[in-house]
Amino acid sequence: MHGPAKRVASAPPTPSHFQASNAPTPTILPELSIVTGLSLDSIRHQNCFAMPTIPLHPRPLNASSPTENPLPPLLHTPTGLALLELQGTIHFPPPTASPLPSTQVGKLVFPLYNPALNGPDDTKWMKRVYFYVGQNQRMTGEVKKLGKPFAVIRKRETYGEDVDVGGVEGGREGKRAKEEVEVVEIVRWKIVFSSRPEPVGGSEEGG
Amino acid sequence: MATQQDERGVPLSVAHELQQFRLVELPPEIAELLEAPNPPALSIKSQAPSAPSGTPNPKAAYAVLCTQDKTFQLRQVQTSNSLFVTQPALESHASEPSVPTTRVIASCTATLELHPADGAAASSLEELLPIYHVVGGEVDATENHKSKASIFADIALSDGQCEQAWNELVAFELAGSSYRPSASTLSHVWSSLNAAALAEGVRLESQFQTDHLAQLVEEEGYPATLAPAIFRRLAKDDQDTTGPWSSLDRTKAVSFVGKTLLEAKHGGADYLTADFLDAWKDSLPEAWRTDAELKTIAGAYDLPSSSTIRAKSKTAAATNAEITTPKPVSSTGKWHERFGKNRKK
Repeated sequence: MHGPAKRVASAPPTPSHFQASNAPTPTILPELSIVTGLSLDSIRHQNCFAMPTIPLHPRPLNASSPTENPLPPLLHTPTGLALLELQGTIHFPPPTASPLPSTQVGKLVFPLYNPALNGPDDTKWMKRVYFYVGQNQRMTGEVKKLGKPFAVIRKRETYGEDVDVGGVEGGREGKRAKEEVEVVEIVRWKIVFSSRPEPVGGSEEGG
Repeated sequence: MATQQDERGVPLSVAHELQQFRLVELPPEIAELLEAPNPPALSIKSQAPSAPSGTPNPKAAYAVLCTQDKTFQLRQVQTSNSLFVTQPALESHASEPSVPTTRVIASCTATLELHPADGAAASSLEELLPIYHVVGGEVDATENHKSKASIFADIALSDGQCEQAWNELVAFELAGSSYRPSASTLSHVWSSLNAAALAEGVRLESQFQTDHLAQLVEEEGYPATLAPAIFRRLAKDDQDTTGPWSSLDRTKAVSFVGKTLLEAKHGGADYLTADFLDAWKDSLPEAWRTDAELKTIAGAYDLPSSSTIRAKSKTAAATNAEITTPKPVSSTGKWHERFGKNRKK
């Protein structure tokens, strides 16, 4: 859950790289701070004496309207959020001094997706998705419906009005955020790549 | 749409600053709730009070998710695969024109599951509420300086479940504190209520003005909020308990009066069953007398001898319930039934 720079320490010099993992799947009963992503101290600060109760708002306060969504419409959600599952982690070089907010690591190809030819109700295309990683690795996956939908929740960005804004800190830093979480989106589909990548020729594209 | 068929595919990028998201697997009823046109706000509460911050091993405070009337235990499941949350973005790389890109904006190594939790709100409330006891006109009660709302905030269950237990215990607020009345106090307040109803010609089964009877009871020296609490506890299922009118459910009231009388005598000398039945009948409106039979309080009493009766010990009942709840119904006997009935009320 840290920025990518941390993971990159162990990354080899390849432009992008895929590392498989086979961690066990333990279940734990999480504490409030783990569930909400809020710090326990701030939760306590807000609920001086009572046990903490964090509101979970069913809709986001500031839903960003997405730009053009390049994924097939089935995977579209109102906020544009989608789920991608990989067996492993994506490594890429550190974005040192990069003016860009992101690093391109590969591309997704839906080789069977062709609504013009197969009609909008065609679902066969879901059976195959390629993820080209860097120049010479390819993962084969599919689009799957989630057994149960996932709510994507995050800390709600609201700032108390009553806190002293002046002084040295000033601005947003000086305000204390209200401890609330919100459901940003409900996602019903995911793109899954459950097998390891296979080597492909650099020029082979599009399946 | 052209992009998807484009030979070059959909570019995938990873944001340099990942956001913090949690993924919660939704049971159908929660999904339905959240997708309704006007979804209610939910809340995430803590199971137990944590040790003060800074303690090396703070006591675990498990989180629960509450709807209006249901509670779900949250469980965190580590995923062996990486789960990424993506968002469309217009990106330009290597001085090419901007193209719609799928950008990874969060990475989750665990997801959260929701499991229905049936906590015993009544026993939590009993622990948190001091007993309000009146002996010979003297009040014996310790203020807790806590409102009903702040008490509910301390219980890791939904407000609906807390409210139900609150009514079940005939709990009430008084001067900034909350209490639950002792059985003997309840029994006295009921007698006073019943007498007032008789004197005023009020039929408790039909609609009557809540304030009117409550005032008469208050004049006897009981908290003004206690009589309405009894009316709520004994209200007919379809009765709106927030309005100015009340009407009591005869079956609930008869059983409540019997159990209360018995509990009020608990720990005292032997109580002759015949005496109990007489006292019970005398505490009821004339028309209800015939309803006072032992079968209406089945499960709430023991018969230590052929002629005496006593209330089943509450602590024994609570322990029993805790132990037997997870077991199959067959081994739980009538206790299970009794608690099941109470919950449904």
